[in-house]
Amino acid sequence: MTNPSLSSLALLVALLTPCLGAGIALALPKRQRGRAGPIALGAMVLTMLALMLAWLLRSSANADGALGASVSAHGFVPALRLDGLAVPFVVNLIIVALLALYYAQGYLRHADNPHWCYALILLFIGGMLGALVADELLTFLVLWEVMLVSSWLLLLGWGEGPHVSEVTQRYFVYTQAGSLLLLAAVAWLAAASGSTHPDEIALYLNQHSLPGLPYVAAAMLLGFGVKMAIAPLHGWLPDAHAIAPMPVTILLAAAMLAMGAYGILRFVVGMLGATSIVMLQLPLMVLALISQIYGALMSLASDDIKRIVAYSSVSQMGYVLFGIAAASQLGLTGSVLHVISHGVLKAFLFMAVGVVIARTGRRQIAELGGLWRLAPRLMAALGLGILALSGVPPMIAFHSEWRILWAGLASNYPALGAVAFISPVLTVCYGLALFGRLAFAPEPPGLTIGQAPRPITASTAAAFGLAVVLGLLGGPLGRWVTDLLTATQGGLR
Amino acid sequence: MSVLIVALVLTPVLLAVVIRLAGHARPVLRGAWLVMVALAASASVMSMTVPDLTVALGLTPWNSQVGLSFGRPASFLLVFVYWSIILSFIAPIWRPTADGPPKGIDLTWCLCGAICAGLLVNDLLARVVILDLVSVLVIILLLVSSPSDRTRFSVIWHYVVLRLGDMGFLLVALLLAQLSDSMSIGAAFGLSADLVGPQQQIVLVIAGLLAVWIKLGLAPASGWLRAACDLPVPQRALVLSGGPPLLGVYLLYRLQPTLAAMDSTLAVVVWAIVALMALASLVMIARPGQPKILRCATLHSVLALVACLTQTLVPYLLSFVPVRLALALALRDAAPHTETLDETRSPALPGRLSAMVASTACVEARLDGAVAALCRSPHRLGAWLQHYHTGKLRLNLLWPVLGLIPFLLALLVSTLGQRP
Repeated sequence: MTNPSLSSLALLVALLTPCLGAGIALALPKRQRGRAGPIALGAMVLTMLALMLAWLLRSSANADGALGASVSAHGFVPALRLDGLAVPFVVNLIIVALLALYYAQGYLRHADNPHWCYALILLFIGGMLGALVADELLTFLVLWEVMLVSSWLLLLGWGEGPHVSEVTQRYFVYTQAGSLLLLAAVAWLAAASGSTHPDEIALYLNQHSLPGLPYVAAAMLLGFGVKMAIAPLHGWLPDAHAIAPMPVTILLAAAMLAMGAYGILRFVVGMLGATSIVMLQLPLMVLALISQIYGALMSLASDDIKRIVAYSSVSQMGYVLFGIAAASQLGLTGSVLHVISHGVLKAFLFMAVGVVIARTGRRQIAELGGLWRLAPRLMAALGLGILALSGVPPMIAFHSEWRILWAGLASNYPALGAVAFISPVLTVCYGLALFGRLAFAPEPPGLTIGQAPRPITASTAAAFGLAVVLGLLGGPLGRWVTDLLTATQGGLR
Repeated sequence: MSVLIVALVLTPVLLAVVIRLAGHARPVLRGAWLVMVALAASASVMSMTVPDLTVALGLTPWNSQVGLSFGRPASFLLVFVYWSIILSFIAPIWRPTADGPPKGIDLTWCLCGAICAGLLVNDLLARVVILDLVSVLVIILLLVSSPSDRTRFSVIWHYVVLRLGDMGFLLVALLLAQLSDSMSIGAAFGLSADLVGPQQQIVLVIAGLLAVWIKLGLAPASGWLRAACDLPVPQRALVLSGGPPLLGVYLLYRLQPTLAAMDSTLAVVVWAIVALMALASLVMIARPGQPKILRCATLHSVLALVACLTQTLVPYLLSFVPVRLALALALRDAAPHTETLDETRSPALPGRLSAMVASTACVEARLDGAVAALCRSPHRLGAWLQHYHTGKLRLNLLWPVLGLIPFLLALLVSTLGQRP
């Protein structure tokens, strides 16, 4: 059954619900501000339902299964589009958002001004969702800024530790520099083509040659690369993840980093064309490899357990970029699949690390140890999560990694593809270093283990269960992503 | 017969689950052992009477047809693995000690099922998956049998080495799949000698030999094998005779056509390096304090390379399991390997990795410093400007004047430009 107008309405509702939830949270009277958490979680559930309705009722007439909605205001037409390319990223965002908000019920129980925190988290999620479904460049940029500013405010207001202002300043500088590059690229394209709609720009580029296309592509790649935290543009990530409250860290690592990958796929590959990636294939593959190896080595060098997991995100995003840089359908499928696997697994790993911190009150790895006897189930789950992240079959990351590695071998630079095979080994290194030291290192003196709040442990268990289920469904998930990308118009021009 | 072939792979795993659920009860163990004997006997007859039989299992997640190929020499190897586990578990199951059966019986039988699957499966990526699982199971077995947390910490690092070997095999599999456009092991390895160009040959040989080397447990990748020598006898017998070493030799057997087709210069270089490293392995096992079983296993593994060079790999392969089983059952060392680690500290990272980590941390610190300086620069510029801005009156007036000049210039230029 299809109902295009109802599906477009559902899409608009899905986009507005987080904003509405934020407004309700802020409007709560003082005595009821404790309800901001359940309200935020409820808003997210409604958003998920609206998105499911929108996708199920979409018109089957569209070859790529896209559904769209436009709102015209004084000649400016911000358009929305949910197609096969956006769906995996939206699914990843919704899953991570639900897990993070559930986790936050326990984590932010005693936070200052929790209603403001939840409101900003909802705006953060709403900004990401809006950027994923925006089908017009200015709309995209505005929602991109909403995402950045709300995350910056979250770090500034609820960051933990002594260097919050310094870290948030750095975060702001990095992300705004990336935004400026995107703005410059968009301005150039709009001036050349006379439009800010990706399809119209793509059509223009098909019919005319833009002399500055490599520079536009490079600017966009750099702008999105900052968001993906590709080395050496990753400087904002470790500190931001370390100081952020855990629910925000989960969103930053598991959802926001994927936005950079989405931007490259949508606007560089989809709008500028795959030739723009092929032109820059060598530097992109080299940068991706550097990220993979650098992130892994920095993870090994870190002492803070949150930073260890944070640096691993730099390494994992390197995989995603490597798959994109290979410029083949297999590589793109692997990258998108890796975004989903990384999202769920990274959310779980941060949650597990958060449980360790909540139960022991410690974050430095030298102050932890002997947890195999003190918390065996947590350690067993953590060990399995680390194996899953390392690409051990049959977990989901294996299905993305073999595609990315094969795409690298089949690319124009197979030697780089062969070098990429070292990365899963380094992933195992830092993963086992973390697990081994937490589980089997001698128990430090004075280490006591308590109980974590129920929402924290329950959400961690849910994330673990989801990671296992996705692992078992790795094959069908891979086929689903392949079908979605193949059906999307302009997926790989 | 198809059902029997599938049963040969699945039964050990199912029996392991039953044993676990039954809490290692003696009647269940004995019943499971008898089932294995029946299967082994059937498989023995089938391997001698049926030359080749393939059972199709279905479509893989990577859209290729996967099946179990019960053909020689894999069928003979599978039969030997079955008999090795039967023989090594006679004593613990039928004449257990007062302590009861050794830990990890269920894991050992799971490992047996995985090894059988690894020998029979005919899809490249499926074999990669199974070899990965074999490595994980071996490490879990070592962890379960470790006497202390300190030993467990050093054991998990052995997985890094095994994973390196598995990645080497993955590289071989993907390269062959790309060249032959087929995921079938027989087709891919069969065509490899004809399809592989010179550069691809180098990659294939290096990655393949790396995987073989690590699975055989030759130095410097012998740490996991050394730890496996401390397992209880039945587990040790399976790991040493049918585990990664057998799969490594089987991979060497598959790689033999590619190795034989090597360019002569490359062949000389490769075999010279292999010979040197084999010699290094032999020198290392000559050190005092090495268990007898490790010395014999290493010597036996080096013979695999000699057999490959002299085209006698098939008889070596067929004799591998019986020889290793005999060594594992006959050679018992008096005392287990003792850790030489400091009691109070966790083991540090291996030397080379530690150096890489230290230099990366140095680069990161410098990058951090540069970015921090860049972020502070607007603040410094502002402070400098403020310092001059709050000075004497003429300095106070200086800034607005300086700010107005560009504006005035722009106005002038636009005015002049508009004149006809």
